[in-house]
Amino acid sequence: MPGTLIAVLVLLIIGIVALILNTNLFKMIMALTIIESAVLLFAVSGAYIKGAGAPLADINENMVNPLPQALTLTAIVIGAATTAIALSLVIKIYKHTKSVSSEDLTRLKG
Amino acid sequence: MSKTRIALLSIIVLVVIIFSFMLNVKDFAYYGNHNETSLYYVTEGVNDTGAVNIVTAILFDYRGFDTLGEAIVLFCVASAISMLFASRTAPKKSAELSILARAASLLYSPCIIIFGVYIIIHGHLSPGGGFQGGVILASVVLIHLVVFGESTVVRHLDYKKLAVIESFSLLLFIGIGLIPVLTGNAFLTNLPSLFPRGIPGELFSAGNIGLLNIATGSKVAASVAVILLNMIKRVEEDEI
Amino acid sequence: MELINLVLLILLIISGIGAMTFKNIIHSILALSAFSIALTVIFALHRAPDVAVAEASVGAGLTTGLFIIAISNTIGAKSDE
Repeated sequence: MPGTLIAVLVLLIIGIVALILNTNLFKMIMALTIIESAVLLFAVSGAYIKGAGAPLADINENMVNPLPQALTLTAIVIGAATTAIALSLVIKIYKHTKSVSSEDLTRLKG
Repeated sequence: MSKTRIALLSIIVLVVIIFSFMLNVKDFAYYGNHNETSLYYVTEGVNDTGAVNIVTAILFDYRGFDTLGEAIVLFCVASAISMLFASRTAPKKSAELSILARAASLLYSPCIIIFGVYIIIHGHLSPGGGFQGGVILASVVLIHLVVFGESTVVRHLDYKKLAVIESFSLLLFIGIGLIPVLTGNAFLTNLPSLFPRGIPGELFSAGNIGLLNIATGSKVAASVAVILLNMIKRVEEDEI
Repeated sequence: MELINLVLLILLIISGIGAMTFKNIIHSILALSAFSIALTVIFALHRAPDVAVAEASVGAGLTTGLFIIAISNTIGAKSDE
């Protein structure tokens, strides 16, 4: 349905523009989360078939496409793991430079 | 190029790509229709595996190797975060919430634990599975970190023992996958002779999907708990 | 279903914009949590209950908790950057 595709496009634009223009590291990580959720919404909305039910075999006879849903499950967990590592790196950066702005990360040698 | 120009250029490129996709979405035959692969999974999934939940049957039987890869990714993330925070210690004193919050959390924590175990075990019958139940079990640790304060929780839950549980669960997953290799089949095969199928819809059915769910659930719960217990550590006051 | 889907997509976009433009960092995290809850209901409407349970537990529970732990460890909860 075109409504979901337009929403995915708007979310991708919001995420990418916010990732480029922000300097706060926490906002950058939130933009990564928004981009990843938009892509997964596109995958699950492509699996929907009109008039079909959820992929549970004892309730429905014709089901939606179950393959993108299995892929999305793995992607959600890996996205959360990436967020955890990124936040740990931000905590370590704060200990060394005492700020979370990307303009203060100018030293090449630790 | 300044940042604003890069942002505007990326917006234009993205809009062009996605509009050209949307105009041709009728030709993209698998968007909103079935594949041959997914038609096979939908019609033959219950007969092949005995699991009623087709998504769990895909994740743990047809594509079990990808689930093993994801479990290894979570293991690597937990190890990396443990290494990053190795030089810090947990805070000695921390605030806790009021008596109302503490008493209420002692009342509803067993309910959440039972719910998480239910979702793990019934993964092949109703929506759920190993990952969802594991994260629900780890959210109990998060609730206790907020309500009781970090110093109380760290006194009772050491992250090293949870790391042992996590490693044993991953070894259990690999061990269940190695059993068919001893009889000459491939890794992680769901053999009807070794793992009985049963009737679809019962609790004891679907071959080794139930055992793999339990192994994955405990592994994900332990991994997320290790990540949480490491990230609360602070720097000592007399370090640089 | 079309009407509920449209309302939820508008809520998704508004909370996405809010998460990126609020000044106080705690307000941004709350907007991200609302984003995740709206995404959970959209997944449930598209006949994907497994994905909905996963997104509810991971997005609204785990990611928000990780962000709050990270912020209380670095710049503190009362900052306005």
